[in-house]
Amino acid sequence: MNLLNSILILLTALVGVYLESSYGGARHLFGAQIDLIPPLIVYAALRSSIVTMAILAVVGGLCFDSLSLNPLGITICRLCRTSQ
Amino acid sequence: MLKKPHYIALGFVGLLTLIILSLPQHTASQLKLAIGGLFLPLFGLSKSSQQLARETGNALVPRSELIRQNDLLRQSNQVYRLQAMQLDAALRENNHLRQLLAWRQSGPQSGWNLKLARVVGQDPANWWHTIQIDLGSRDGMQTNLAVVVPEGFVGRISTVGLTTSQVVLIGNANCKVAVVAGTDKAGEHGVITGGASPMDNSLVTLSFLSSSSNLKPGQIVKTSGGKRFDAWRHYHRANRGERASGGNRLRRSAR
Repeated sequence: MNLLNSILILLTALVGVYLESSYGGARHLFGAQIDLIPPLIVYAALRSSIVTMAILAVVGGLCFDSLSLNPLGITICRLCRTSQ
Repeated sequence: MLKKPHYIALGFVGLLTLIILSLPQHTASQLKLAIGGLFLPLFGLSKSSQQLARETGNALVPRSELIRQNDLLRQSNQVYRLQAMQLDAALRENNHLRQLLAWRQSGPQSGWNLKLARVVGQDPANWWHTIQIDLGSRDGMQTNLAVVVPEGFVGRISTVGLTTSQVVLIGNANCKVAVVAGTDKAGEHGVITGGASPMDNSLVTLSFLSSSSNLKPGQIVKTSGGKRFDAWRHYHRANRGERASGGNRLRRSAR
């Protein structure tokens, strides 16, 4: 159950980053894109283990940076700070 | 307070982050492309679902509407054919005059090899202006190729994957374009960069102007025809101007 929960969290992160990149509805509505990963990492910090949270920070950050012009790995720092 | 496992996890993630951030540029971009490859099935799924939705929509359009649109297209097609004939004649005349003047024909204006691309994604971060297009190295894309729309130049390709490429748009700090403000003969040369206003994506900064420049709101700004952006004309209008601190550098905001 715990493993399934962790996998689902990671898949949600993957789909979340994809949705942020592909669908600009929120960007047009609010003028800025809503980041879906910080709420997810807060959820992982509250409901899951520290290992899941760390993996989510790394995987989510790398996925986010791979579709962005950010230096690769910079978002991991931000997500780690969010999770503390 | 954080417990010991938290410190261990934090240290591990921090170390991993440092390693990734200290990777060489080439390795980091290759790693980026490899991780970005995870999203290819999702991009493909999105493309096929859009196509399916379009086909479904086409099947639901009434026949009378299709006939009306077909008539309109026929009429516009005839107009465009006439215009194309006129343009062909002008092009032949232009080429003939160029030959008479022994004009060099090797510039990018001599024959553009354009490829149509579809935008499949945007930058998820708010502070960069980049898009993803569905052409990659297998379609012949290379870095620094110009990206244009019918209105003009919009950006350059920064990263090329197998099936997708990342385009840095005008307005991004990494996309600088040499421009001329004013008329061609008496124009002020400068460089357009992004970051004129973080709240308004339509503004860019015109910098590296001479100290004696006399720009006025309403003046036309267009690409100056450097090596890379030769003949890619993109027009802006000078919006407002203010003198920046430091030396002979002026900053102008252009829309």
